[in-house]
Amino acid sequence: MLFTRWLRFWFEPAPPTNLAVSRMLFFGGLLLYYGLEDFSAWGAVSPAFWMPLPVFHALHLSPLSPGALAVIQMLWRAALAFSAVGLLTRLSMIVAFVLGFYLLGLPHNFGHVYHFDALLVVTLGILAWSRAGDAWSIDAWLRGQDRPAPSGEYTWPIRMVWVMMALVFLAAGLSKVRYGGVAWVTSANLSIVLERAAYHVSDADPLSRAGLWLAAHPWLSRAVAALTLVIELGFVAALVSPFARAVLVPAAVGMLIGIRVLMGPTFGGFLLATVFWVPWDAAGARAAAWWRPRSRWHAGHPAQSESAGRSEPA
Amino acid sequence: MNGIPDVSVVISSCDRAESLARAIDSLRRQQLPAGLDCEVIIVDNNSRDGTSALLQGLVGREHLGLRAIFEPRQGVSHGRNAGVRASRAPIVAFTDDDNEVDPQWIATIKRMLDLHPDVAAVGGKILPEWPSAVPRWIDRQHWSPLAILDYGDRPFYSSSSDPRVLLTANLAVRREVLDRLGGFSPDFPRCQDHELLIRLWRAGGRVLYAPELVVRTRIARERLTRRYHRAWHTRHGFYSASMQLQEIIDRRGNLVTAPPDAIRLYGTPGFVYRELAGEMRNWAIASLAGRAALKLHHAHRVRYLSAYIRNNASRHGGAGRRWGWEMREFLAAHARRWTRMFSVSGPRALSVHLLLAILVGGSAYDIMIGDEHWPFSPYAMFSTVEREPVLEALRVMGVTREAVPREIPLLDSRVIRPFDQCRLTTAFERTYNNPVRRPLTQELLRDCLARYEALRASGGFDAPPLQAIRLYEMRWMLDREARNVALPDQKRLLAEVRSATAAAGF
Repeated sequence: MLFTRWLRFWFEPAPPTNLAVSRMLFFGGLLLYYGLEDFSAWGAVSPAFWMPLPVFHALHLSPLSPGALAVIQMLWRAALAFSAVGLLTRLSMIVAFVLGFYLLGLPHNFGHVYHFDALLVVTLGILAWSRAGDAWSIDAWLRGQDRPAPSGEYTWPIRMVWVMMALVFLAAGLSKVRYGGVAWVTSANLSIVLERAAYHVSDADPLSRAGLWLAAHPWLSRAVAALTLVIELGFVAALVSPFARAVLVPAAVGMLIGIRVLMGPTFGGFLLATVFWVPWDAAGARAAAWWRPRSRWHAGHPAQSESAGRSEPA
Repeated sequence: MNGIPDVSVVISSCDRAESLARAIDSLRRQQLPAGLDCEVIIVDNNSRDGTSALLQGLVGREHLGLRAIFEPRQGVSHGRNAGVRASRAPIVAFTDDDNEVDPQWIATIKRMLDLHPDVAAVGGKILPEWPSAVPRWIDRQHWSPLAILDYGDRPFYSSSSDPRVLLTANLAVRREVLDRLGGFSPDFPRCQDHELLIRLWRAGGRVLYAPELVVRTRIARERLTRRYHRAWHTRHGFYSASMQLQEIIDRRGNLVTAPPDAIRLYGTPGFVYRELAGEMRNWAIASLAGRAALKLHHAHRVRYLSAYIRNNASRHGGAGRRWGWEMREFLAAHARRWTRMFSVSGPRALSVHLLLAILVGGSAYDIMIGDEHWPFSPYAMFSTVEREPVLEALRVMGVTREAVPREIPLLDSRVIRPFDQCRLTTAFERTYNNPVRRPLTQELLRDCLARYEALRASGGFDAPPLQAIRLYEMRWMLDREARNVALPDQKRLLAEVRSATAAAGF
């Protein structure tokens, strides 16, 4: 039945490994990525720049003083670190989400809204609601329960990050179809965009001049445009098909890296969310089997098959 | 011969004198081997037509040992049970008053049951004799209401592991089995043969399907109407519910001893509702595909399952239970089952769905309206088609405080901290292009200049001091090698702020 399939997608009991390892890598990566980012400087920007986001406006959030922002960002980093190692995990993840929502959202109130960190905030919110600290955490170690039984609690947060990421790509693909149509692929659009990238139009300049080379090859840039659209619109298939997952997730990562190299926009934080796509238990089991014969990683359960016979007169 | 026949043929008839005469004719044509003795018992099941007169005319004149008895209680189960009681042979063969049996029918029954002493009964094909015109939609899927049966030319045992039904229009049962089972149930004026077989299978009995055992049924015109088929499926669903037929056959097609401990709504397990939903979906698909026969088949299945559910509900409702309470219990039971299955509590699953609704709903809303509500977005960057190889953008330039002042672009994120080039120019665009905000342009420039000087003074970067800061609108014809980045084709000063108490000018 469709509803049971739906529930199975979200709550198929799974060992806690994948979620726990993803939690460690996600929060650890976030800490490293934003470790040098100084949000306190936004407290010193003239209020004339303040163009609040609807959500900041609705919640009456405004920039605090540089000192207060420095304290908040220190607390946020501590929460990220605690979440990564799994100390007071639930509380840490909630704090990481609440403060992360404010800090990551704050710069978008000063004129330009970037999308690079939106998925991070959503993922922080999902993890704050999850039981990602049940394993591979100091909390679990202190409780003496490092290997809880498989549960749907360890499946839905991963699936929800998947869905949100698929929605991001789908939205980007649909926008191109909606506003650009076929011409987005068939015209010189991408060549022009690549050439513009060399004129300091993004948050960062391209890492190489390969974009200009690509722009000079119209058919190649059209092929790249078509491939972009295929990846963006097709990414939803990764939700249900392991094969599509194996192809599209690396393709999407490659696309984001390609955008950074050729055009400049930075998706470093966004890429952190791809850790949720990796089957860490299977990867760990494979690695453990390679290193030593016995592993502490959880493995899947073999499927059972049944057969029924029919009688027939001799 | 001891006076006891080998086979008793029982026909229960009600108001079908004409077809009954044909049925008896076919029995009259039986080719019986030497030594095989049989009797024919016709049960007049309270007929009001000429059945009684027909039987009075035949009794005593038939070489088959025809006997007529009267059963006043209406219903084919009563009629057949009366026939069984009156029978004397160890094998009781049943056929219907609208059937004509093959000349070898009785001989085949005897031979098959002698050859297979382990089987409780033997049944066979019921082949149609169609009227001249048959509607096109009548295909094999619509045979059941016409009492046609043909499982092919390979024999098999019908049993609890393969409970394919054989109809009493062509079925012979050992008398001892009938006695043990207690005959046909009077509670089933329809489907009584199926109900009897279920009891037989449950008792471990097997029924042989013998393809060479054939009777023919004349298909009456009134049975070829959609109305008749609709009514038949409704009736069939009703009596199937009484047998719990949907519940006692498992997914592998085996007869189970008792209905599963399924979660029920108004007396019917949830999977029957699922099956109903599946049939409705298939009906819709067949309708869209224009496949009339298939559409009708699924419509009949919908009718059958609806009647099944209705009958269960009416019997269940007799207990005086509240319908709302029942629905709540049904949902709660499912929630408990899912909780066990997925190790996630119901409230927890609900809260997860609520979170999902917020996230997906927010994203979907932005995708639909094409607007931005961070952290949701339609992700529309780079989605428009650029047709001209030009770039028009605002740029912030600093004027150095040197002997020969020069303009330097303020692009490096170190000098415009905490902004980056894109965020800063967008902030100026949203300010300068908005008549309400435009007066703030000066303030923005002043702030940029102040932060530049403060950062420079703190050693944040190595760059000359500025005496002024300017906002330009620039236009470039794109160069394939980007050699003209510092040399725009057009450049228009929009605003300027001088250091100290600088004034602005356009």
